[in-house]
Amino acid sequence: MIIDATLPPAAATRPVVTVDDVTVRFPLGQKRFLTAVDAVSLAVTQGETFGLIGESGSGKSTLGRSIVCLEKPTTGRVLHGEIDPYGLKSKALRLHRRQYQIIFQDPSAALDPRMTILKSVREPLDVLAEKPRRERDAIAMEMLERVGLDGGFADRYPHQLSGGQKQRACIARVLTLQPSLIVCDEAIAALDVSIQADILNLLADLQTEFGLTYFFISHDIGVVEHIADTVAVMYLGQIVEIAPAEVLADGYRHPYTEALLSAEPVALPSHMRSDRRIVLEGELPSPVKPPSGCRFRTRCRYATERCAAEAPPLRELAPGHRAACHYAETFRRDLQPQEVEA
Amino acid sequence: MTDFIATPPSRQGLAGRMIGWIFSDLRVTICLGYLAMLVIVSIFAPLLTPFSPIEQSMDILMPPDAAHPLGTDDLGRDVFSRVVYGAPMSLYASFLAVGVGLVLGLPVGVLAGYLGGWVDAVVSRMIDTLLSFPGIILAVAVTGALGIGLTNAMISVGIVFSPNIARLIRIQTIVVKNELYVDAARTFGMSVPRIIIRHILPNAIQPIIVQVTLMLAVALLAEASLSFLGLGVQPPHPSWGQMLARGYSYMEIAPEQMYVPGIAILLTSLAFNGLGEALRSKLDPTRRPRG
Repeated sequence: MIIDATLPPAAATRPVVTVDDVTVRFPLGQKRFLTAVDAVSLAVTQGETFGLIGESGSGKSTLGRSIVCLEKPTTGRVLHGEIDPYGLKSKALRLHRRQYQIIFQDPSAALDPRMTILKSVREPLDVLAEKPRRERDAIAMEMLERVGLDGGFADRYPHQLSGGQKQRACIARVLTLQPSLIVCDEAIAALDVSIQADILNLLADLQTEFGLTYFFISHDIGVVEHIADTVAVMYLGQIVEIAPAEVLADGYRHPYTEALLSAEPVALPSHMRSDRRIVLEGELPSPVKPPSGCRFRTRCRYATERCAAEAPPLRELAPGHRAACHYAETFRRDLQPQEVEA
Repeated sequence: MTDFIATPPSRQGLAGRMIGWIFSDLRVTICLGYLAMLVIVSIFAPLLTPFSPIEQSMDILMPPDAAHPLGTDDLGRDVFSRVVYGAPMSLYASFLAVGVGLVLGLPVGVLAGYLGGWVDAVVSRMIDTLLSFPGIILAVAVTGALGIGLTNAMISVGIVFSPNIARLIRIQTIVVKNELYVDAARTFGMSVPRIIIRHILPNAIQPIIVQVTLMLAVALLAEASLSFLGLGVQPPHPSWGQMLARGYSYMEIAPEQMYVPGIAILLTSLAFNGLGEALRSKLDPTRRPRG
């Protein structure tokens, strides 16, 4: 099978993960399905931070889980390098998947409450137990130290740690495997704002030190813009825009991205803020029965009849910049030549 | 990041910690002390009793006196000797029934809960079927099939217990298997049996421990019922349940006949329950003081 032609031309480096036309559906009974991820294609290259943003319920966590083999795609393929992990036999998969790790949103739930921090951090190494226990302990302690938890935490239980400390322990735990890819599934969303910055900086430092690749899922466009190299915007199971982070901030080409960017808090008094905030009307439509045509049309202030009739394809507007909007080139007044304005 | 001074927990062995726990909690000390006493009494029964438990005499339904510290029963047998000889029977009966229940119920429940799908559907219907029988009827039927005797009676009580245990651990397994730390373990390439042993069982077992202590008490009473029906301990050998059942016949003329075995059953059940409750809070690390 040839990888979807809409993917960017072979990047300088090989993709660590290729998501090829992946759809994830959950059966609801009575022949109804919830389509959490709908025909998504993307590629994450070695060493980059790939940001994925979207509201709650847009399917971004499901996509992240399918990348680390926790959610089998209903159709389409996830490729790790050249390997299709879902095609592996269970034993081979267990060995293979160790290279693809995930950090969850809720660090309290991600650590077994009955295991000490050291035991939890050592767990990935215990699975194969290739090294003697003493050595595994040493590696775990080293990683704990590296993420800023001193030796005193080793014998503690998760409930004795703060949220940020627990998240550090989770990071140390995946680091013991030196994975090719780490999916950060809203990894900082549950933390205090001051701790969020600490963890973000830690993730950035670790990336430089170990050459990590992140698939960074967030609902906070500010965070993603800051940390990511490539940003994909997800709405109701589909990617509506994908662009290099530095392009997206000013050169966005999708009304949904515009709304997300305008919702970002600005540290200025209200009379000094330039543009009005765009408030999206209503709730995210049900992924069980998505709107016809463009999925965003029900909340889009630029929507026309064409949007209801015809689903916009994800079109390439510039190298590495794609958007799924019929009016991607024209909806932004601020980018139009003067005569159109007049 | 908030830093606090780390106090490393004392690095004593498991045995040391257990002993520390037993004596730090008065309830545990009393419950374990009582159960230990029962075990010792069971072992040294012949040395402690003035009479044989099956020796009859003409002094029937006597109140306590110097020769018979707890009086005599309707056949003139020494109640104290019978209670002491009944202790090992009752303990054996309780542990055997609960043990059988666990051995049958735990694996079935865990597998049904973890695998889900049609396995779960089939197992759940089987559990429902077993639960729809009145417990004692089922136990009588199974004992009838296995043959009469204390061991067979208690195996059948264990079979009656097993669907309860299976149902409880199934629900617990379903709850725990969706925890993120189980997902995390899967991404580390951990095999299913190992996930079950390392994460699911320790986190799912708590209500089972409490249930087991309750069942030990229920098994004591089930032993009494089955012995009453003549399916358990065979006369003239004593068991608490049998003594209670026998005393019941003389309730109107000698109500004190029921006190001794009844109180023995009550205290033993209480000790099991108290121990279970203490064990449950001990096993739950979130109940430990915060750092």
